[in-house]
Order: sequence, then structure tokens, then C-alpha cells
Amino acid sequence: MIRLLFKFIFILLLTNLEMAFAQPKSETDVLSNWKRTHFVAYCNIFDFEGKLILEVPGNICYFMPDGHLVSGNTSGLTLYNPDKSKAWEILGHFHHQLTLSNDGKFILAISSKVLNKDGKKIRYDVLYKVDMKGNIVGTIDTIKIFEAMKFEFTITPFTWDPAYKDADHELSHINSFYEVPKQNSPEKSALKEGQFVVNSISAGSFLLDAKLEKAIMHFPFKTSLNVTHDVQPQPDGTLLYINNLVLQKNVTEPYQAPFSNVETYDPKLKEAKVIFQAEPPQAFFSKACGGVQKLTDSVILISHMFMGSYIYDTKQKRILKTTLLDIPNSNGALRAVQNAKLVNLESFLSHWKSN
Amino acid sequence: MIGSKFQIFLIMANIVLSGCAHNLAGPFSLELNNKSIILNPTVGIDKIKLKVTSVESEKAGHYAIQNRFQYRKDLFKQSQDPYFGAYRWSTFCLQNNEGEKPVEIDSPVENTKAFGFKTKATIDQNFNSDLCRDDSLAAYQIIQYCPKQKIIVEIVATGNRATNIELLCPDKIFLK
Repeated sequence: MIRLLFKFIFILLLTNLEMAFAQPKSETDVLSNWKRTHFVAYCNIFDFEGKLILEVPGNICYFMPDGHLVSGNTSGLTLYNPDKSKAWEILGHFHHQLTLSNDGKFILAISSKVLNKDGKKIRYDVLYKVDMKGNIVGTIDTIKIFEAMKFEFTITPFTWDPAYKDADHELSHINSFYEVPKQNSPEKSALKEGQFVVNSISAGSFLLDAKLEKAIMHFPFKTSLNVTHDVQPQPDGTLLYINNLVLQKNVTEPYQAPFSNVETYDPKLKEAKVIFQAEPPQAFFSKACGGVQKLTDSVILISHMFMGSYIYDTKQKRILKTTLLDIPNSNGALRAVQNAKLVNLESFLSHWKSN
Repeated sequence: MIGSKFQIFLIMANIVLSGCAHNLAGPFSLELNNKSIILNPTVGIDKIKLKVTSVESEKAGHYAIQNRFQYRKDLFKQSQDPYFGAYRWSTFCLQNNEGEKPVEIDSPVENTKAFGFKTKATIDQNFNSDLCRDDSLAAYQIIQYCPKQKIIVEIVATGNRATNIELLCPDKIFLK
């Protein structure tokens, strides 16, 4: 009887130990599902552990499954064929992000124009929808967007791309440009499939019509210091983004360190909801860049400008994996990551490397 | 084969790239990797990776060489451009990726004028070029079209005598 009791206690202890050390099933599943994917930041491809495996020309890139490469930089937007020849090139200053339309047939790109006023060369943003032959099939600029929304912009010094010499000030700073995906409940959503959402630092986000002809709505976010990145329309009608500069309310101390959240914003309710905040909040502060990507209903990828990328479970409220990207840098200087995404690039790599 | 220049005489080596290597006795050892081989030749040349790709015509060969050169030029140039205030590549990588323009290369092989370019290159542990990492190695690269054989030969070599390498187009080569 005593032996049986000891055996029972031993089994109970062992079970508890296993439970304590075993990863929850969902966590293992999430990581194994994404193990074959690659991290992409700028024009660099990394393996799942963050090791650099391919670098291609450009500051911003989109890697197509058929081996084509869309590459943007200070002087132009280029489509490279898989054999590394240039299919076409559009001259201009391209920056921050390249995405594709929902149907994968068009490139969504952010470029610059310059307005000469009061002795200043003022940069503003122009959005392009480009087909795969290099034709610009849709365009709108931030002056038109701001005028339509009666948004009063401020002019600030332009410093973030020293290779672009044509401007010394800027009146907008667009950092993301996405097409609205199919909405789960179109009748309840403020967003319509095929429209576009663009985000500009210090201005918030704007909803644009499907033809890229006019601005429809302004989402100011009401963030503390109005710096947001990677604002993505979601199928549930919300916007997912990183709020870079948050200051706690009701602070009595004279100085309080800011922090960053990942949030969603409901355009109908005009409410933001925090879905990631570090503990303490100041432990995660991505001041000037950053990104977020929804991997599953409850798991997101968060990229910090310097501290790596985190796969985070919003239900368990815990980080499942941290990856520091082996990003090329200049003589030990940290190079900020605008945003990192997880993408399966096996098909691209097989076409690209065989040439 | 070592002289004032280290020459790779593919003429002497009939290489079957998808199977075992032949007639590369002596100082060479081979590791087969798809359509490439890695040789461990001799003092001063630590390792050589050799990749051979067949092309349809001379026009296609020149086109491929020009593309590769332009691509490397783009990559190299943009690595010197600051974006968000930081350069992409380290001084080590920038200094070790300077290339030369494609030129016609005299070849002792009958009726041939090879076409290619030579360049410094930084490579990873698998001898892949066109990238810069903390653990990158300095190497020397020749990419050359051989018109008689209608092949592009790409050589990446490491070692303090790597820059002495010259590539002669092979007399025979078999691609399986």
C-alpha cells in the first residue's frame, strides 16, 4: 500500500515536471509552421534563426515567388528578372516599403516629389500603383490627400536619407501603404476591399479610394506623439500597427521614459486597443522604426528597430521566439530595421539562385 | 600548376560535374555541389569554387556577363549609400568588392575570345558572393564566358595568391 502511494506520488511529480518544462502544443505548432519561412528586412533575406543568406541591390525589396525581384532605392524602382537582368526601371526616390496589391498583379510603392518654396526644397510623398510591366496605373500625392482631409501639415527638416540630395525639408513622411483586404463583415466595416491605407508620421493614417484618386477618411489615432509605423488594414475592419512613442498618462514624475505598443484601431469606434505592451512598458521602445505582422489569429511578429524580432502570442501574453537579425552594418554601427516580415521565400530563392 | 600566375587549365581536366570528378589528381580535391565544385589546390590558394553554366549562344553569354556585372555594380554602389543614416556594408566588405569592367580576355584556345570580368568579392562559408556578413571572407572572383564551349565559368578563390588566378577556357567539358 505504501509502495503504491510512493509510486503515485512519483508519477504525479514527474507529470508536473513534464508540464512545467514542455512547451504548450500551440506554441510548438506555431514555430514549426513558420520554421521554413525567412525573415525579410530591407533587401536582405535571413533564415529562421536570423542568419543572412541573401543580399540584393536596393533599400526596399519585394521578392516574387517566380524569382523576380522588385527593388527600390534613392534613384529608382527596378524589376530584376531571375537571371539578374533588369526588366524595367522607373526613375525616382523610392523609400520605406514595397507591397503588392491583394491580387498580386500590382506593386504598391512610395516615392518622393519636391516642392520649392521660400528657399526650401520640400519633399512630399507620392504613391504609385505599378503593373508588372513597369506602367504606373494609379497615383496620388500627400498634398492632395492633406488638402482633401483639411489636414494642416508642418514642415520639418529632411534628414533620414542622406543619399537623396534633392530635398532639405519634408511636409509628409509616409512609411506604409497597404491595400484593404476582403472584409469579414463588409456591412460593419469602415473599410472596403480594394481601398488603400497609407500612414504618415505626425499625421496618422488616411483611407484612399480604390482608384487612388481621393482621400476618404483620416485616422489621427490620438497617440501621444503621433509616430506610428506599418499600419495594416485587417479583415476584421481594424488597423494593426506599432505605436512608437507612448507616454503614460497621469505621470507625476518630471521625466518619464517613453515606450512602444502594438495596437489595433477600430475606425468605426475610433478606439485603439493595446495588443502588446512589455512589462515594464519601457522595456520595449522602438523610437523611429518598427513593424508588426499577423501570423495567426493570436500570434504576431513584432520587429524592433534594433533589438530583433519577436514572435508573440497575444493570448498567452508571452514571447515564443526572439530572433536577432544578422543585418549587415557599417563597421559595427547598429543599423535600424524599418520592419521585418516572415515570408516563405523558398520558391524565390530556388529561381534566383539557379541563375 | 603554379607559375607567376596561377592558371586553371580546364583543358587538362575533363570534368563531369554531376558525378565523380576525373583527371584532377595531385593537389586538387573536390567537393561536388550541384553544378559547382570546390577545389583545395595548393599553397597560396586556399580554396577555389568553380561553377560552370551552359548558355545557348555567344549573344546570351555576353548578355549574362553584362547582367552579372551590372548587378554587382548596383549592389556595390548601393552598399555605399546611407539610408536612415547608416551605410549598408562595412569598410572591409566595400574594400573587398571592387571590380573591373568586363573585357575581352585573350585565350590560348583556338578561335576563342573569352569575355568576362574579375573582381574582389566577399563570400560566406559556402563561397557565395554578393553579400557582406560579419564572418565574410575576402576572395577573388572571375566570371567568364567561353565562346567555343558556350559556357560561363565562374571561379571564386581565397588565399593570398588568389588574385594571380587566370582562367583559361577548357577544351572539353561535360555537363550532365
